[in-house]
Amino acid sequence: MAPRTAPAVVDSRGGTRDARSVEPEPAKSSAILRVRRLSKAFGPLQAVAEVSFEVGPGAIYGLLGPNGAGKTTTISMIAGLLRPDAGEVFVDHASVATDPARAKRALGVVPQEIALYEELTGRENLEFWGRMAGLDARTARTRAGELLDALSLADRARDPVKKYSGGMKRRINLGCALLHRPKLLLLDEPTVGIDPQARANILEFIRGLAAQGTGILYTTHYLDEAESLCPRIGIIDHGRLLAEGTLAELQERIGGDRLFVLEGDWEGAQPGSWPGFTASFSVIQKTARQLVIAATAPRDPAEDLRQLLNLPVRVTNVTLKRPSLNDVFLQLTGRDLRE
Amino acid sequence: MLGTLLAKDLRRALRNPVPYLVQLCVPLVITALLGLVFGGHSEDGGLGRIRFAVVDEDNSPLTGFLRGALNQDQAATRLEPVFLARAEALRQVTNNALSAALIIPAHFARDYLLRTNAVALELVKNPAQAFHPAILEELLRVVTTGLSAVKQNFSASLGDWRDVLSGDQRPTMREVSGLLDQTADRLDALRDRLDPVPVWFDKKQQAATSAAGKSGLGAAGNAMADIFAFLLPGLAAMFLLFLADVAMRDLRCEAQQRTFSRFCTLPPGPAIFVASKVVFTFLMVFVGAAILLGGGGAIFGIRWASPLILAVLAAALAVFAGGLLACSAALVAGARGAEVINTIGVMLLGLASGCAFPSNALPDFLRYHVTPLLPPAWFIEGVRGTQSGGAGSAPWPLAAVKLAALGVLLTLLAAWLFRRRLRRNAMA
Repeated sequence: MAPRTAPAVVDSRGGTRDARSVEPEPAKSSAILRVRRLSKAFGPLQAVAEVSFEVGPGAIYGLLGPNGAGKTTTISMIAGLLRPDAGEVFVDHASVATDPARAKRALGVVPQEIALYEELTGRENLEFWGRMAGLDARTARTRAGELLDALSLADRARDPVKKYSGGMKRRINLGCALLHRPKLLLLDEPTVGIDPQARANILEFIRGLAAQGTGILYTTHYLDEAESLCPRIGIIDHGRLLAEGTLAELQERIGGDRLFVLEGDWEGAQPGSWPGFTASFSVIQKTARQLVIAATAPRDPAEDLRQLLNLPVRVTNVTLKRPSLNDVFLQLTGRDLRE
Repeated sequence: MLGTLLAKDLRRALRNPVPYLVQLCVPLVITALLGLVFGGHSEDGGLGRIRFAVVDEDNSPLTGFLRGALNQDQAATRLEPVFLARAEALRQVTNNALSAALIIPAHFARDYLLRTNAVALELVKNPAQAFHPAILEELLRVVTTGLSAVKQNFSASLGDWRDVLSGDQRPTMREVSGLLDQTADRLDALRDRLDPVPVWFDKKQQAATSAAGKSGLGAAGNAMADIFAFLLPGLAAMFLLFLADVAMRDLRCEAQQRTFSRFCTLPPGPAIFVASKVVFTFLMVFVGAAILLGGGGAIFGIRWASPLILAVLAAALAVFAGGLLACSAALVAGARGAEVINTIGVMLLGLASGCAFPSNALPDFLRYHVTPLLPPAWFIEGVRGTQSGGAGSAPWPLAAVKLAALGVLLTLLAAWLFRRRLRRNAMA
């Protein structure tokens, strides 16, 4: 389904722009990752279309979107695994296209799949990936030990990875990208398929990395993860970055902090034709049984409620809530992120 | 970097050795089975003496000569004739105590020496054995061909010989010398056709073999007659290619498990990763060859003529195998498709190269036009040629050079194909 509104973003200086106009200026930017008008098509399918964003040192940028939105394709282009059809990627001021070796030295990638050697132990995996990232044997061994402690896996360090639980594998999978202490960490849905406790541990670890100055690009389709972990969020769907900003900025886009969920028989209803309705509300979603609207007028919620109870359709229930990222996604795409 | 990658692969192979062990065990098992079926192994490392019965129902001076010939020198080392009556010989053949019974019918010599009569020897083979009776049949074919040739060329004198040999009295020297004169005159008439002699016996080879028998290399000569030594190099060549397939298949596994993609996100780039797989395959094939040929030799009592030459040939085969399977990995991305194509391809290559059975048993077109072009055949001929002291085979250095050169070429081709694929993002 096509977006209801024109693609727009809130840039790092707080302004709101069309997503395609965000083009960080290389010379002035201190960002550890700069993505400019990145595009990629697979045959007739436009997987990524003119995506632009930045990630600064110590920042966590969440790329939120449903499965197939273009998150992994975007990360693959940043990591140098896919060649973009158009656009540029700079990692630590090095172009991934023209100076990949330098860009990759600043990069750590945690793939969505568990990319580990199951026959090797956790420690051996860490040391191997450390060596591949350019560390000497002694440094790799030392840092592997540190990471095993930090990831709470020291007591299982000598076990083959195939004997690990899903959460433990995820942690080692994450650790393997950190041996060389990258300035930028790409995390592609790193918590898929693990229990809440393991997920919480990983998210906490990631916050710690950011606190130490590592820039993090985090893709997810979990709303709660994006809301709780990512100070800045980009919403992507059908390859397009529809909006980005802080959670508050994105909530503001759909009408401040009030959403009304009205239950009733909305079959055939035409909200646009109701007197005074469009001046105070905007429709986020309308189904046969439910109407989700955002209050656009700056007034007391009680006044909104009074107006809603006088609508020409009988309302059986009203819920007032703060807009979530899902509501933002709903407004931008007309469909639920969870669908 | 390359060392770390190899160490990783070797460690993984050691912790999950089953796929490799299967490829090492199968040829040993097949060699053992085929070897036992076709006659088995003897204490001297050869086929063993072929025990068979001679039933001489003619009992003439000519058959006495034939009986005596069976106990002479080389024949005595290979053949163990026992002289029995027909009924006893057939009973022992039935009881699997003998490989065959050669029956010389009554009046054989008389009929042979007559000018017109056709004569026949009778060979009763033991159906429970395959190899020894087959050898006896071939030997008998040689004997009968020789006898036929003599009969055709000396038919004019044979009647006189029959009279001399079948008389009641011992032939006088005068009678015999007269016949010898006639024979000599006939041979003189044939001089132009016999000089140069179309079929000759190489005295040098005879001398070398004889000397080798004293120095221990005689065992090598025996080894070529050993069915195990004959089978093992061929089967080893085919299953070493399968082993290479298993090793190189790891590249596709890594692509599927995304470890290859992960590696591609690191500064070294994919080229060294692919190169490490080729080197890993080379190592696995070389070690596999050492286990198969060395271990197989120990199991079956084969004494290889030159372990060093064998090692060189195995290394050359490993280079070829690495290059061949690297090309396959570069061309066929899908694991399932590659498994089918490689299995069928290696099997066809092996069979057409004479890995499973002698190449001279192949159809003429394959034997003369295809097999000589196939690299596994170079390896097999190199090994067998070395075992037989170089007789009848291309020299091993040529085989080794051809294998290694082709392997290098295939590796370079694979590198080019991989680079092209990676540029197209197919691997990612």
